[in-house]
Amino acid sequence: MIGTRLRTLLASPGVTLAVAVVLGWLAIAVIWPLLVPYGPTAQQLGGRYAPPSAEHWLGTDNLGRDVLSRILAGSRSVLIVGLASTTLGVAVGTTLGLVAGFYRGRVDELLMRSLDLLMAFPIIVIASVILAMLGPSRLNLVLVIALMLAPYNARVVRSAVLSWRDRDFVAAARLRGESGAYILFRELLPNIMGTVNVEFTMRLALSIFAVATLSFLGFGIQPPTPDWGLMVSEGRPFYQIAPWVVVAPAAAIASLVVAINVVAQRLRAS
Amino acid sequence: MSASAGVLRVEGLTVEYRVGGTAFPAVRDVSFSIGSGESMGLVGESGSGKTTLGMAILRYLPENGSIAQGSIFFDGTDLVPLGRRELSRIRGNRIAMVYQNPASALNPSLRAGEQIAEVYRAHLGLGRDAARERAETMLDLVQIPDPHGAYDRYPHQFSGGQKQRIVIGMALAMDPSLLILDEPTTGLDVTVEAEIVELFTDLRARFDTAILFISHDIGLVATVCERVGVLYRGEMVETGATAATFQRPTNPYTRGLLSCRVPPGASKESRRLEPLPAGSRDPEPGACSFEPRCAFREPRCRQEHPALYDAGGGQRSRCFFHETVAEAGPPAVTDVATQPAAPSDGTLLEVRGLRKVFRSGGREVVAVEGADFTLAAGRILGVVGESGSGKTTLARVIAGLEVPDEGRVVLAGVDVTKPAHKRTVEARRALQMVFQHPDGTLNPSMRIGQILRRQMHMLSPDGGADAEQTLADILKAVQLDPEHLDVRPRQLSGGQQQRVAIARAFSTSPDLVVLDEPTSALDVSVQAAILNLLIDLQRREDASYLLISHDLAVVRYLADDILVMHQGRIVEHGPAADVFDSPQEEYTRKLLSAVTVHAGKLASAGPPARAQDTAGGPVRT
Amino acid sequence: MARSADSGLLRYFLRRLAVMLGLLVLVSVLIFAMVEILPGDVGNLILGQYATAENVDLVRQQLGLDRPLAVRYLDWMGGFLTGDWGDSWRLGTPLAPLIGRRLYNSVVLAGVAFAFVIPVSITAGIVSALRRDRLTDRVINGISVVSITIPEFVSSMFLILFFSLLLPWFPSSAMVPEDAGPLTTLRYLALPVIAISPVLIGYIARTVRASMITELGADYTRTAYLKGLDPRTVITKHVLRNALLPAITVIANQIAWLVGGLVVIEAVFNYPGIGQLLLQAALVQDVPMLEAIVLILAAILMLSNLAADLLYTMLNPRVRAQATGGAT
Ligand SMILES: Nc1ncnc2c1ncn2[C@@H]1O[C@H](COP(=O)(O)OP(=O)(O)OP(=O)(O)O)[C@@H](O)[C@H]1O
Ligand code: SF4
Ligand SMILES: [Mg+2]
Repeated sequence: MIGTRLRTLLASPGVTLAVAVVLGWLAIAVIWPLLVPYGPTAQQLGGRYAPPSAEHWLGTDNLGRDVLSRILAGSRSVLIVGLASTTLGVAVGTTLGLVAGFYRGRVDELLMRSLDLLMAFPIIVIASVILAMLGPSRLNLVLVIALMLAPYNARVVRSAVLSWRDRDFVAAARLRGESGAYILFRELLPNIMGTVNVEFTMRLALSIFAVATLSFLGFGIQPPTPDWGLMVSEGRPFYQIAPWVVVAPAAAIASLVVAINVVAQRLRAS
Repeated sequence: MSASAGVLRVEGLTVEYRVGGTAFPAVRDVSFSIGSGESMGLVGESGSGKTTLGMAILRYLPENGSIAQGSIFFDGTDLVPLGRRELSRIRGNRIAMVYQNPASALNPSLRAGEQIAEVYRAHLGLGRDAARERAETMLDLVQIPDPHGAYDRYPHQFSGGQKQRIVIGMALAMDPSLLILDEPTTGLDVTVEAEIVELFTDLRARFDTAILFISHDIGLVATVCERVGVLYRGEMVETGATAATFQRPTNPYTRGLLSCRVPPGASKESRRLEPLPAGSRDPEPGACSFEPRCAFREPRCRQEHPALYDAGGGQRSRCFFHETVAEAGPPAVTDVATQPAAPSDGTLLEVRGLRKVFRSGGREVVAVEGADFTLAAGRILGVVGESGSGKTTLARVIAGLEVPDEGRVVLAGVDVTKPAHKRTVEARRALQMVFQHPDGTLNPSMRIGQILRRQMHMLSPDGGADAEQTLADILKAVQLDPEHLDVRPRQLSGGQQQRVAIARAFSTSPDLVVLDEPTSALDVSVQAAILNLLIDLQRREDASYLLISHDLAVVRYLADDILVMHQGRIVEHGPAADVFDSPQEEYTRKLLSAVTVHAGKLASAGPPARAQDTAGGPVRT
Repeated sequence: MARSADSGLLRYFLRRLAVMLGLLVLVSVLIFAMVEILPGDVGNLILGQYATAENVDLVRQQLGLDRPLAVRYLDWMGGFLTGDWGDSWRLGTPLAPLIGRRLYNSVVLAGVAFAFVIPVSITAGIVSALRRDRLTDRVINGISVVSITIPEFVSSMFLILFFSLLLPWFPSSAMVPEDAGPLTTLRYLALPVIAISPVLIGYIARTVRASMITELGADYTRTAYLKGLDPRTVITKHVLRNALLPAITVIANQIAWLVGGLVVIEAVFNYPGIGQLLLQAALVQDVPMLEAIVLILAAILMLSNLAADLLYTMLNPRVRAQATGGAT
């Protein structure tokens, strides 16, 4: 089954490329210390705003730091926060969606209405306000983004559950006297795992979108940690003299989110 | 042959669907014609290509479907080469279509009358008022009350039967010379079905339209059509006058279709059903398509493909041995009929004053009201009634899937008026259920073995030692192989899935099995085998059944006692023979007469009808 | 009959409005609680870390922060309803006029964006569905897959680099000069609008495409074709009527996304809108300002969702019947 999955994924060259990009960034996030030519935070005041060259492939920034090294190192914070918040958000959302979809009635009403309320607010606004108040630690970032992702995930899972809950095998399980947890996690969940996987991939793209944006706005990853969103915001004042400082991290973000989303769309289509 | 021979003449039509790069023919080399004002039926199992053929005539195939070969002469013109514009001039005007599921055939956000009026505007160029006037006349003609008011209402404000009338009105608007009906009454209640059939009969007298009537319901075709064509795997295997064909089938498949039906009015004491074998392999290329399932096959059938031969009496049959088949007459009835159930005084199930109300959005629907009855051990109780009459709710309350608002359910002397998970293990073991949809009854993510073992593990915790033996036994009883334990439900046919569901129900030796429409989703050829299996198991295990079905023939055949429900109430309850032969209640009489409209006709035409009872069921095939 | 249906609809509307107001009160409590209870001492926030304890207490007293929470909430809400939204801690100026001005600017930007986004996305969705699986569809689909995921600040930076730095066509800042005419204003708003649109267009187009495909395959569409209607009538009269209904809901949902996008876009392009104000308030923890802005945004978003819901109900006979208790 995994084999056919993989085969459909790799069927088109565009998707193959996307898979390669995602895996590439994941690998870099793990082994970047072995790859970087310079310390990502090492400053070289003599060599500020150096344009791309053989020594500095992507140039240097306003503090003379090597942009390539910072890009490679910056993949880690984005992916850690992105993966952690998506895992948490999808786990919570899936559980809520299972419960709401299966039990219906008041539980469902209450859950879905509160989630609607949460979803009526722009993620970025809520996250900025909360992070402004709590302080921008990495843990807070993960929690806030997970909180923001969960409702979307819960909704999708719930509607998937709705199409399964009235099937007769669920009635058969109830007649056997199975517990609610057994029905949710053993009877229903395996059947909607496809949906959950697609969800995870799509939410991962959204989560990275959010991490990058929050870091850009100043509520996310804090300096001096190398981070893509942060790099764009740090480079912005000097974009006219050193556009590479902005272009490189912006392109890195775009490559990662687009690749993840291409994979997600492909998973969804199959 | 001249093109004027009939309204419609289909010649050598082959329709293909392209799936994943390969084309497979869903209709193969089909030829037939329909004279003006004539009505022709098209029968066959699910997937035999009936709908594809109907749609091909209108040149409206799905994107991946195409006409590979053949011609469709309509009023002398071949429709196959026509372009879009010419087709729109014919569709809805000279040829119209009505199909299953009227609820979705109407646009939910357009007023009902408007949907008829636009036909007049498109084809006659009528103005708004003139079109409205014609549409109201049409609404009146199809017997929609208050046509003027009805014009402005939306589809959801009509009942299912009324919606189908509107769709029929739409189809007849331009007085077409050909009307294609694809299962126009499937999914409607028997009483509504009878009304619609009556409407057709009335309208035909008025409109002189030729009809192509597609149905899996042989009884209905026998009532409505003068001629019939039988499709098998996309091929026309027999054509002829309806009465003659059903009287003296000359093709083994036609014969099988007729004999595996539950004969109207028959009961399990009078005869055993004749299932059509399922066929364990695909036909070989170049051989007769029916060969794997054929009782008449000879070596020749595996080497050559039979043509459509003249079989006498105006019939044509795609079989080398049509003479043998014709002479064979009705299939021999195996007289191993079931012994009548011994009268038993041990009460197994007692239901007292049951009431169940569903509330949603401030509205209340009383699904079951004041239900009172008992069921004796070892007997089969059939529950009949129209859709929405509360049959399924009654069953679900008894099984513990719903909690009643009032009343009690007592099983073997123990009060079990509570949800299933709060009942004792013993009570859960004693009561089992078999559901309607074979594809929903088994969890697709589990293997068959897992499903059956979990059932036994939960309900007979102490039977661990001989669990595997019990499993082997029950598997054998439902005619499945041990290899089936390792497959997933998707890999089984509908009939096999239902066998697994039955095995699951019987794996813990239940005392009462609730069967909710156990064969409604199955093809007629599969139905007979499942019904036989249910009878055998009931005898073997001495269990009681609560059998729910909208198919009165099936209920009549299986049940010892009958319970008639109407609008949530039990209106009649008594021994099956009494209820069917001399119904006491007005409603029961109405229900029974609705189905005898066409069942009666086939009873005199079909070969296997032995029992002389007048009452019968809708012969759902 | 029509009259009773109308009064049913009115009753439904009033009921929904009442529920919304209730929710808004709940939201206001949440906002108030969240901002007031979260850590960080206000005195220190205003005076800085090294303020003396007495000074901090004094500031707290001046701000009325020594009173019980419930009193302060009622005071805040009372002021809010009468138009007195309090003063900014940082700027010391009254909030209402400031927020009003900024909100107006943002509404202008959002209005231009929607005027661009809605026709483009709906057309793209319809075309894509009608040309399903053909080249046009693949191209549109490809563009929307890419555009949905790219954060606004990334696309903004690329736009600025291309259309402001490399090709000096548009200003990189959206600070519209005071005396600008409509055309100049549009020139200033062009880049922000282009930057904020792709995500919105992608979502709306995909929804429209999906619902078009569902409706094109519906039985009633087949009925319409088999009646002999010409394809144009089938699409415009039968299919679009049902297919565009879900677009209403998505567009309403996208308003929330748009507001989030505004925060980013206004920051990047230096546009004096409510998003930029919110960002500044959050960065310096200007509590009264934050509370006021978030509450206003909540009210706007809930109202627009309600409006979309009503529109949907009005245009969909089946839903209308359910909503008005089957009065029709
Ligand atoms: N769009 C399609 N693409 C591929 N195969 C199709 C398509 N539509 C139908 N088929 C296949 O063509 C065959 C004939 O189907 P068709 O719907 O015409 O049968 P039918 O006799 O009308 O069946 P039923 O009684 O279930 O309505 C079946 O094998 C079916 O699976
Ligand atoms: S040709 Fe042979 S296999 Fe085919 S139907 Fe006739 S007897 Fe059966
Ligand atoms: Mg069909």
